[in-house]
Amino acid sequence: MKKLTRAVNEMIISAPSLLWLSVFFLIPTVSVLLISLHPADQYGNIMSGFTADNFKRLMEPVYMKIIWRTLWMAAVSTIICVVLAIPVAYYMIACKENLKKCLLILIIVPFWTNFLIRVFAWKAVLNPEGPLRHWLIQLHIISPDTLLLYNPYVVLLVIVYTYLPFAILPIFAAADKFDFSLMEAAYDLGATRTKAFFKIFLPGISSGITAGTLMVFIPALGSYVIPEMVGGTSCDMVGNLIAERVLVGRNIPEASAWASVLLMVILGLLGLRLTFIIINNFRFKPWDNEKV
Amino acid sequence: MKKCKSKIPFLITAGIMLLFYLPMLVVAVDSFNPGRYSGSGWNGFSMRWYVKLVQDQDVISALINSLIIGLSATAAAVILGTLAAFAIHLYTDKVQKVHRLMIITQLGIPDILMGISLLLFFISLKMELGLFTIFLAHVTFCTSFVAMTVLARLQDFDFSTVEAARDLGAGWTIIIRRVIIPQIAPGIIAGALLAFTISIDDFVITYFVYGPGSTTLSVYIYSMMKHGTPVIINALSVILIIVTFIMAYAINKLMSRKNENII
Amino acid sequence: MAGFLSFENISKKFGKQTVLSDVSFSVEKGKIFSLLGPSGCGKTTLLRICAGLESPDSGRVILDGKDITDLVPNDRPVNTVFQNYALFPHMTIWENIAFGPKVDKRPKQEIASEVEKYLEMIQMTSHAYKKPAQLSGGMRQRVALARALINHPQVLLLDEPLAALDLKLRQRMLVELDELHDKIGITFVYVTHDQSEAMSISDDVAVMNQGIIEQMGPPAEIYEAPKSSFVAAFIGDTNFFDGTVTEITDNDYSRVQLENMGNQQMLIFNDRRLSAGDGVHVSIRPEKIDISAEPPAPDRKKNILKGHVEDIIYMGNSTKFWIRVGKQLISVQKQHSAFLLDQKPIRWKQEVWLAWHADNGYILDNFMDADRSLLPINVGDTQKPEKAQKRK
Repeated sequence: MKKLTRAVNEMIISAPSLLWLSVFFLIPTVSVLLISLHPADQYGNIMSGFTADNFKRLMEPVYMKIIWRTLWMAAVSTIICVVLAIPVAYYMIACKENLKKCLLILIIVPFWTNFLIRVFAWKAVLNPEGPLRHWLIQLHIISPDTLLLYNPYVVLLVIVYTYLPFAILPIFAAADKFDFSLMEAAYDLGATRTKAFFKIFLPGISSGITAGTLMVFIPALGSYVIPEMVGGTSCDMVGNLIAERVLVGRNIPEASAWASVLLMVILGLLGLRLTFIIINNFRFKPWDNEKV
Repeated sequence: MKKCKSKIPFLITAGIMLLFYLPMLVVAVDSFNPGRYSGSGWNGFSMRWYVKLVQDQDVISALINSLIIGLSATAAAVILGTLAAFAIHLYTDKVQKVHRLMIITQLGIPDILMGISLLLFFISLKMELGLFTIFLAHVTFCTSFVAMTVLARLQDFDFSTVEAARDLGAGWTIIIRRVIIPQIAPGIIAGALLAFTISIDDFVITYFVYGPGSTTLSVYIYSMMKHGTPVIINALSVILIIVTFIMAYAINKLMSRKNENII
Repeated sequence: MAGFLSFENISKKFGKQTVLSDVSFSVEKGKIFSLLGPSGCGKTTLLRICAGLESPDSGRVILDGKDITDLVPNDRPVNTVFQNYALFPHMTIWENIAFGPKVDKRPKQEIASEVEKYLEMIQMTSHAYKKPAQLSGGMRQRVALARALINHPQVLLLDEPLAALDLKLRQRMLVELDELHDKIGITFVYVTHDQSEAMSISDDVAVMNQGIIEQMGPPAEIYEAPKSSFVAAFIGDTNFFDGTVTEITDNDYSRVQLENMGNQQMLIFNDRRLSAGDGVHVSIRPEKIDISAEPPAPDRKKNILKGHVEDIIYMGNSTKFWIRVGKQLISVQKQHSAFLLDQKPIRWKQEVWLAWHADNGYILDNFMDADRSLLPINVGDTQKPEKAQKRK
C-alpha cells in the first residue's frame, strides 16, 4: 500500500520532464543515428532502405583531413584550457572569501555573455583595422601584410577563450573541497612545494580535472561558429560540415552521418568516464575497512 | 588556509582576467567611438551607435522575439526542471538514474548536435519552423539547467526540517508552503535566471530551428556580423554584458549558502 | 507492562537488515529514560517510531493508555529535539518557536505571549530575530528545546541532543536539561551513545545493542551489576576474568581458577547456581581493585593476585595502572585522595599486589568474546598498550 503510493508519487513528479526529454532529446538524437543509415536522393532527402554509403563518404581524404583537424584543435585547446585552469583554481582557493567570490563572478560573466558577442569582440580586437594589429605593426612584431584573423591559431585562441570557464569552474569546485592540510602534511614530511603540488594537489583534484577536460573537449569538438567567423574556409571543422550539409548543401542523411560520428565520439567519452567511475567504486579500498 | 608563495598562479590568473575582459573593453570603447572602425583612431565620445540601436526596428523586433522565447521557455523549464530535481533527489531507483543521465548528457552534448537533431525531428513531423519550434528547443535545454541548479540546492537542504515540521504538527500543505518552498526558492529563482540568460544567449540551436519572422536577437547579431554593418553590435554588446553582470551577481547571491543550517 | 509510555514487541527491518527485534519496555511518567547504545543499535529508530516518523513492522506504542502506533506525527502529543536540531534555516528564532502553535492555529495574542515566555525560559529574548545560522551550537540547542516544549508535549524525545557540542558545553547543557526537567516535569526519552550523559541524567537506562535491549534499570544497577559482557564493557571500563569453578565453598561463594593468570585462584560471590567445572566470566571494575607495593594482610574474602606493573598512566584525579598477571593485563584505577607527591610511588616494572573483596566481582550472564574489543586492551595481549609511550 505504502509502496504503491510512493511509486505513484514518483511517477507524478518525474513524468513531465522524463517525457519531455524523451520526446525532444532522446528520440531526435536516436533518429539522427537512424537517418544516417538511409540513402539520400538527389535532392538530399531521406530515402527508404539502408546503406553505409554516408559513412563511406566520410572516409574520403578531404573529409578525413577535417576530422583530423577537428580532433587536434579540440585536443590542443582542451590541454591549454586545463593547464591554465589549474593555477587559476590554485590561486583562487587561497584567496580571501570576498576576492574569491569576485573572481568567481568575473569568470562566470564571460561564460554567460552572449556567445556571438564574445566571438565578435575578438573579431574587433583582431580586426585588420583594429587596435591590436596597429600596435603590433608599430612595435615591429609583425609585418604590415600579416593578417591576424583567418588562421587556425586564431580559431584555437577563441576556442580557448570561449571554453576556459568550463575548465576553471569544475577544477575550482574540486580544489575548493581539497583539504589543504594534506599539503601541509606533505611539506612537513619534507616535500618541496613543487613536489607537493604535483604529488598531492593534482591527484586530489583529479575528478575536477577530468570533468573540466570533458567540459571543454566535447563542446570544442562541436565548434562551428568560431571557425566560421574567425577561421575562414581553410579552418573548417566537423561542425561546419554539418551546418553546411543541412542548411546550404542540403544532404540530410550525410549531415546525419557526420552528426552520428560526432555523437559516437562524445558518447564514447562519456561512457568511458562512466565505466571509469564504476571501476573505481568497485576497487578494493583498504581505508574503508574501518567502516565495516 | 595556506597562502601560496609562488607568484605564478597569481600571474596566470591576472593574465586570464585580462584575456577575458580586454576584448570586452575594446568593444565598449568602440561603442562610444563615432568612427566606423576603431583603427581609425578615437574620434571623441558619442552615443551615436546607441541611438541608432534603439531606432533599429529589426533589433527591437528580434529583442521582443527573444524575450517571448526566454520568458515562456523559462516558465515551462522551471516547472519541469524543479519536478525533475525533486524526483532525482528523492528517489534513487533506476528510472531516476536514467533521468539524471539524460539531463547530464543533454547538457554535455554540443549545441550543433541538438540543433540538427531537433531540426530533423521538426521537419519529419512537418512542423512549421518558427517561434513555437524555438520554444520547444529552448525548454529542452533550459529544463536541464534548472534541474541541475535546483538539485544543487536540494543537496544542501536538510530533510530533517521536514520531519521537524511534521513533529510540530504541520500537515503537508503547510510543510510544502512554509518549509520546503522557502528553502528551495533561491535555487529555483537562480535556475530561472540562468535558464533565461542561456535562452537569450543561445544561437546555435536557435539558428537550426528558427523560421521566417522568428528572428531572435542572437540570430540577428549573427546576420549583422555576417552581412550587415557590425557597428551597432558594439553598443548592443555593452548592454548585454552589463545585463549578464547583473544576472551573474544575482544568481551568485541566491546560491550562496549564507543561511545554511550547519553546525 | 503498565507504564505511561509503553513499547510492546516492536520489530523493524530496513530491507534485509533487522534494526529492532521484539523490543518491549515502558517508561514511567515524569521520568528521564535513556536509550543508550553504540551507533546502529536501533535506538534512534525506536525514538523515530515513538515520534511517528517511522512505523514499526509489528508491535504497538501505547501512550497514557492510548494506542498511538498508527497516528501520524502531527497527531501525537510528543515532540522531538532532533540530533542536528533541524531548525528552519529561513525562519528567525521567534518564528521557529512559534511554528508549532501557529500550525495549531492558536490565537495570535496567545502565540506571542507564549513565545516570549519560552524565549525568556531559554534566555534568548535578545536573539529572537536572529536566524539559526547566526547562533552558536548551544543556543541552537536551546531553541530546539523551546520549539518542542511550547507545544506542551506529554513526552519529549531527545535524539542525541548534545552530540554536536563540545565537552564543557555538553556538561553545562546536561545540567540545564536536568533543571528544565525538574521544572516542567514531563517525561523525557533521551537517546545517546555517550554513557556518561546517560548515567548522569537518567532515572532509568536501557542499554541497546544490535536491535535488542541488553539490560534496563537505574544507572547504578547497570554499572554495578551488568548482566552481559556488552553492558559491562560499553558502560565504563572493566576487566574480564575468565575461569573455571573448582569448588563451591560455604555461604554461596565459589572458588575459581584463572587459567590466564598462571592458574591463580579467586573467590567470587555466587548468586547463580554453579557447580564445579563450570566456566565463568567475571567483570571487575578497575576502581574496585586495590594496588599496593607490599603484600596486603590476608582476609578470608579478599582476593589477592601478584603481578608486575606494565604501564602507569597519570590522569590527574586518578592513576591508571596496567598490571600483568600471567597472560592477562589487568587495569586498575586508583583515586588520589591525598597529596600524591608525598607518597612513595609505584614504579614501572615493580612487583605489586592486587586485592579486592570477593563481592566486587560480578558474574556475567551473557558473555561474547567479541565484546573484549570494547575494552581499551585485549586479554592475553602480549603487546604493551599503545599508551605505554606516554609514560614518564
